[in-house]
Amino acid sequence: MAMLSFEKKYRVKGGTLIGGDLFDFWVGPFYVGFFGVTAAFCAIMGTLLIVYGAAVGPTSNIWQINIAPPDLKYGLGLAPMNEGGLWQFITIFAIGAFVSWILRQAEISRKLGMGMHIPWAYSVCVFAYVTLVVIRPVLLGAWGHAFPYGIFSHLDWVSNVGYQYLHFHYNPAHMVAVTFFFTTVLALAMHGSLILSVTNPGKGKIVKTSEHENVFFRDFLGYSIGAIGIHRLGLFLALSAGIWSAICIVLAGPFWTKGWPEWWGWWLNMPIWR
Amino acid sequence: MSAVMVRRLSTRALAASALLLTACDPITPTNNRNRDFVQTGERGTSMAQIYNRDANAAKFKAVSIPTTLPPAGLSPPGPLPWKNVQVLNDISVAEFNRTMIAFSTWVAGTGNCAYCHNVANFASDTLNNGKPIYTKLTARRMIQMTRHINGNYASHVANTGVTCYTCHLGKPQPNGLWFYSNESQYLRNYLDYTGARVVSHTVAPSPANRSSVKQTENTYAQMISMSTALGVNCTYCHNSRQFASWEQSPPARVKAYRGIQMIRDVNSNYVAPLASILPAIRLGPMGDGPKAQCSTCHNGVYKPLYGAQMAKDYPAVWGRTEWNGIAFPGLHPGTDTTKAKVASAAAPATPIAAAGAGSTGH
Amino acid sequence: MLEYQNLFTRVQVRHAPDPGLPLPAGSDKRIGTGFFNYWIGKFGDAQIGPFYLGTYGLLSLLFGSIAIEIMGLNMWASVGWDPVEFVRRLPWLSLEPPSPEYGLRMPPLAKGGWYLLAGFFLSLSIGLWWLRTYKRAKVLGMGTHLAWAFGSAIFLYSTFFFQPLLVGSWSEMVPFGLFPHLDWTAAFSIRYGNLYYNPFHALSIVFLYGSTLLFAMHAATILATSRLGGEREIEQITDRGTAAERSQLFWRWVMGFNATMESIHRWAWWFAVLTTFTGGIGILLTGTVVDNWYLWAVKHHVAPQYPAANKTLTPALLDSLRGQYAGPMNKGFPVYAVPAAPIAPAVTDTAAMAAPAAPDTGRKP
Repeated sequence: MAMLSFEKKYRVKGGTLIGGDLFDFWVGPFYVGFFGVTAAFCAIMGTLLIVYGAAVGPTSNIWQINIAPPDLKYGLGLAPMNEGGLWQFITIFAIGAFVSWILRQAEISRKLGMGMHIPWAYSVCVFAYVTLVVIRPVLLGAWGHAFPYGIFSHLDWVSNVGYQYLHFHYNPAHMVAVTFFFTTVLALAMHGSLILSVTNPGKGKIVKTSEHENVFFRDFLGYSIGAIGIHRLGLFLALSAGIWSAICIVLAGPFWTKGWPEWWGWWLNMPIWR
Repeated sequence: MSAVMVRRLSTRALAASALLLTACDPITPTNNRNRDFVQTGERGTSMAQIYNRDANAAKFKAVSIPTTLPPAGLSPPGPLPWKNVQVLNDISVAEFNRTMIAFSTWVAGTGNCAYCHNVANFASDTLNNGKPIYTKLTARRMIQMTRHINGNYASHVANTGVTCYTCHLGKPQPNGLWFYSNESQYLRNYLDYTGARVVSHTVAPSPANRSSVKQTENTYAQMISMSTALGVNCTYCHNSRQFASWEQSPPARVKAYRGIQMIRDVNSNYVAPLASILPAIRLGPMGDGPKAQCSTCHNGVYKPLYGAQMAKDYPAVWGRTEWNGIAFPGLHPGTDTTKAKVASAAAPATPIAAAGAGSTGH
Repeated sequence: MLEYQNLFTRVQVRHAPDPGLPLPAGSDKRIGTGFFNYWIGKFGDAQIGPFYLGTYGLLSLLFGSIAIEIMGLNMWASVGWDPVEFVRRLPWLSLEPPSPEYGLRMPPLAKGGWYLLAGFFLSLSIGLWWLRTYKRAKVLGMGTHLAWAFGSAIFLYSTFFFQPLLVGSWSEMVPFGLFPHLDWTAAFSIRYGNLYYNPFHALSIVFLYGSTLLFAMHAATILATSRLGGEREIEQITDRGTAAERSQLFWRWVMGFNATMESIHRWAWWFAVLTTFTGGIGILLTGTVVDNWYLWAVKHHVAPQYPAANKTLTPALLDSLRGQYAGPMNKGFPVYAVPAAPIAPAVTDTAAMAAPAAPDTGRKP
């Protein structure tokens, strides 16, 4: 029944936020729950709309399919379906699916007696998406400022948003976000490597201990953050990358309209060295 | 806390908040989301201009156009009564006088004839002590330049054209003049570098495009300066997904390219050679003459003077046989002043190409 | 939230600092005995040190310091040794690679030679550091996974040397400097036709964002099961406890499949390693195999097409818009020929123009 060897004893009632026992069951390995139903509904509707958009569009090439938001002239209103309205409905279903996913993760955490860290972490990811497609467009006054749904077309959007500010690398929040991204990869490589190196020491060697974990990093870098610490650090780095990304894009437009290199004038013109 | 400390803290807070204000340009409920957007591309591509409405309004208010002089009236019959008129020898007396007054307003202050002339002898090109009046010699060349721009670069200046005021704005020195230096190398795309293209037209590398990443930074720097000069961003002229593609670039890019061709012509043939007659104070640290760039005319606006049409009222600067259907009122009707003959003084000088590998055309 | 979330340590236990496991004969002595920091202890382990320097470490730090000194002193020289300007303009200062005219030859020190020297010492330092990661694991009887992960990052670093080599010009290399290396990034993408269309660039970003997602997922999972000892991953791997079981079931119930306490670290390792590895491949292919990634994408039918932005282009117009490639930069500055004769007023006698008086121009105002 697609259950792991130890799974049966964990499949108990309870933990649901809405609906009580009504949707408290599994389909194969998947837990359903009320929010599983809403997530599935929204995801299926959104996907069908995307498929429809591809069908009425000029191509069915997966790389070229492009579902674009409305023109800026429609402001914050609803646009005709083939002029961006489709994008708007897909976005509504996407947000519905993502929020349902968060709440489903919360229900499953409750059922398993786990902390709520996962749904909180995932909501940062959803927040970044909502920032891009709702918060920033609303601040700027038009849905058309959001990104199109298309594998390569969304990259054209990224490129043009960047060049709207002449040189987006100079956005200080972007610098912080990029640093957090790269540091996250570094920390992940270090953590993954450490665990694997301790549990896979080589042929014929015995599995090592947490003392080895600490000693390695103290010898290597002078500091070992420890087993719980690395996970706190990893979560902090990863979520900071997402949060600063959201900050950097909200700054661009609602809080700054010129090129980003020009922003650094405050430093160059400080009274102490002008 | 002593009063002195409080004052110092508040001053620091004030300075900090002033810095913060310069570092922040937020929309607020009170400024009513003061952003204006002009979409320049397909929906979803995020090709759009972003304007701070209040800053734009302030900029617009700061622009003032001198009142247009009344049209030239009747002129006495016969040729121009003055000597040594080398360029403006194709207009009537009344038009000539009118033009001179306009020149003074546009460059030196209304009525400030002495800026260019030896008032004891208006015809002379030298002062009473024998020194050449560089301003007059420069002005002569500038008039030729203005006619050249209006006559030959309608592809860029259209039916708005330029007058002295477009660049000079009532001052002897226009904005945005640049000189040779290591830091201004990227501006040589407005002078003698005729190649700024860096994106290949082929998938595979080819010997045709030997542009380096360093040269790309040069072109990029020039493009940033052009954006700032026009108060627009890159998406005004380009779809950044492929800068090189003309099909994907909005029509403004064609106009901008004509502008680059124009400024190269203007700098190489009219402005830079003035070094030979300008005094040292007007030259750069390497002894070279001044050169113009986009901001010299545009001054941070997508159209100079927000598109105000001044040239149509001053036939002397036309360089065309007609303007908006009205014929040039020359002494010889039908005179083509685009090819007005002129004495050799301050003739166009050819640049001696600097040493270095040239770029291959493509 | 009335439960404790285990984001910060509430109770810190102190004893003597842990001197670490004994190292094999022939190793240097560790530096210091370790000390505790209360505030660090709130987030991670409280003990700082002892530190193992070792030969590789010493040499690596030495060569790295030389590299940084070369960079810093060159930057300072570029502002005329002015200490105030150095601080003021520090983010913009750089040590630049040689200009294109030198190709792959050694330029003078001041014209790119220092750059190559700094790069050489930096590479030495990184190589020695790699040896350190390998050695430290080996002497402790651990696997060398960290060394190989670091190797992937070094591979990416090396492509910034090999791609210029393959293209035939040191000038392609990345300048040392905070903002200048960002300018290089933008220019590199522009020069090669928009790197977003480089499939290996796209893959690298997939792995970058994927690594971030994975670390968030894994770290949150461990924190969520830390009440059950989930962070004791070695123990959970060799003797699966309820923390590992609940972690697995959480993800299985959420997304239909799951990793194990060990295999999640394999996912992590590969995502992180592939970020730099695919990125490096993308750099190596740029300028060598592909000169314009957008055109490559068009050729391989992956680039979306939009309606033409300029509908007025005719073949004649396109012909007139043809420009020239920039090519290598020219040296020197143009000199304009001074007219042979001094500027002498040429008297033009307007009496020759015997035309009738110009009538009122009759223009409409």
